[in-house]
Amino acid sequence: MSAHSATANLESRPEPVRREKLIPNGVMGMLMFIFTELMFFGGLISAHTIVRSQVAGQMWPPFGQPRLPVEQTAVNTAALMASGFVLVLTWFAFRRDPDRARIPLIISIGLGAFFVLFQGAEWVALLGEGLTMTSSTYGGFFYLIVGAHGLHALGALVAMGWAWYKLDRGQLTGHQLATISAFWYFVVLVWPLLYWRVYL
Amino acid sequence: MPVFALALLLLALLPDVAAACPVCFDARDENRQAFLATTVFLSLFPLGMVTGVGMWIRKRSREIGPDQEDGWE
Repeated sequence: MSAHSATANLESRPEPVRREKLIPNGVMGMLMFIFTELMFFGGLISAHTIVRSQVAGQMWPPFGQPRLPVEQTAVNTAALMASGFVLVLTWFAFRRDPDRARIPLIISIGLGAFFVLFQGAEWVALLGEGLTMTSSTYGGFFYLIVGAHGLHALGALVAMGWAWYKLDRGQLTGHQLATISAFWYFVVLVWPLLYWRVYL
Repeated sequence: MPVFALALLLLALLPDVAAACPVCFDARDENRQAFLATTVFLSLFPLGMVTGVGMWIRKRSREIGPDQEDGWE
């Protein structure tokens, strides 16, 4: 084949169509991270379920251990759910006009911060009542599961704070907001399961 | 055919209880149920997640044509 005919063959080929990504790289990476985290919490909850089923007489909390503040945490749970809902509104506002996403994003961060601070106050009260990591398996599981979730919430809040900083300077992209939102939705949606298994 | 019949006979007669996990047994019904439920949960959960994402990607792939915006921006 001569060089001329090879060039002609290439020129007669249809132009390649550039297809947009199905999922942005950041969101895909975050989804993979969330999968591992879901398995982590799934393992913790499974272990908790087994240990709880082995307690003689099904006495939970065990004798001498304080009862967890179910009602107060229900209010805190509502705040976290509201934060997730406001973040959905933030996304729609961002799609219309990024400037309009500032207020809902800061509300979502505020509700999330309320959740973490309230959890901290709850821990201080429970420590005062004698519930520690080593006081029983009940205490150990409580601090491990709820603490792991709290750390995730704290990390997600830092990321959302960074998103707000970028948004305020007009530098936040839709991919970045979607990636950070995916992590916060994970923190929000995994909590009702933890609340049901650990508190109720 | 005789081989198939022999295989069926062996399958029916040979299997026995395998005590593979010495801690996964307890006389209490609650504990056995907890082991069963968590085993099913941890087995199906990752499969469900992978299937869910696969279906979502397939849906997105059909939604966006080759020359359309991806909708993330």
